[in-house]
Amino acid sequence: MFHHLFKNRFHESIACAALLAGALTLQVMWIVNLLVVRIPFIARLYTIIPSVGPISGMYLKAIGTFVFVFLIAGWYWRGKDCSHHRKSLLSFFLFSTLIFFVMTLPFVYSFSVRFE
Amino acid sequence: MYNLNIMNGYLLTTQPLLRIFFLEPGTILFGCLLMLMSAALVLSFLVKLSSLITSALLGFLVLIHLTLDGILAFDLIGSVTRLYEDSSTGVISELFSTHRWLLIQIPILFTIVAILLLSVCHGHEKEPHAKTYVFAMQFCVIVSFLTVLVIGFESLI
Repeated sequence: MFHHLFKNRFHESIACAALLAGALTLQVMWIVNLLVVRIPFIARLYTIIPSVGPISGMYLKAIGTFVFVFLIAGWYWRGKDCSHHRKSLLSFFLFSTLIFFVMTLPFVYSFSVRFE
Repeated sequence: MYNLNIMNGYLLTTQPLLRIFFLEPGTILFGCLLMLMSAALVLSFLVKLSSLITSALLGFLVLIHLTLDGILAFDLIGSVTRLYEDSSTGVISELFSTHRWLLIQIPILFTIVAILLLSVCHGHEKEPHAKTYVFAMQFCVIVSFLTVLVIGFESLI
């Protein structure tokens, strides 16, 4: 009876928040991986489960980042027109994916130059 | 004389090789994951045809995510592979082991993003403003599938 009063809304803010959270999580993931490889203190800091190693802390960090960014971005964009962010967020997401794949290659993140 | 041992245990597990495979839950889950991802990959291209396909794809993505969580849980509990070994040892399998642990994050993250995008686009798949998000969802499914394939191939090295 009242169905014409309710419009089936397209919650673009959630989609934008998901894309932003996904992209930022990818960036955080490769940066944390690089820090864990380079700095022993960071590796020890992220070792929450000793039998697994630093990857346990890295996974928790990734989950935390995604949830935090998604909630903050979703709250910020809620009820706002975010259609102008659509293309830029998609580009950032694609770029982050590419960067993650390149920066997590073993011979890239373990690359070092020694001066003697 | 009929061998009663055949009746014990699982089907076809009297052969040692098959028994090894059946006793490893991670391998079984990985096989299930490949099948689910293949189905999701096909459905992701048919999303614009009907909302029913979107609902089915949502279900598949939830199952994929749960399967990935299961694989991760089994691997974390088992912890059979060594992580962050000194690369100067030159043991390529150990390097790839770390790489696999990093790569598995991609399908886990991308299935969540795809589920969120698909939930938003549900019922709006054909609309022009949903085009970007449908593309992003398809990208997530394709990249997840390829990543799972890469993980599979690297585990053979």
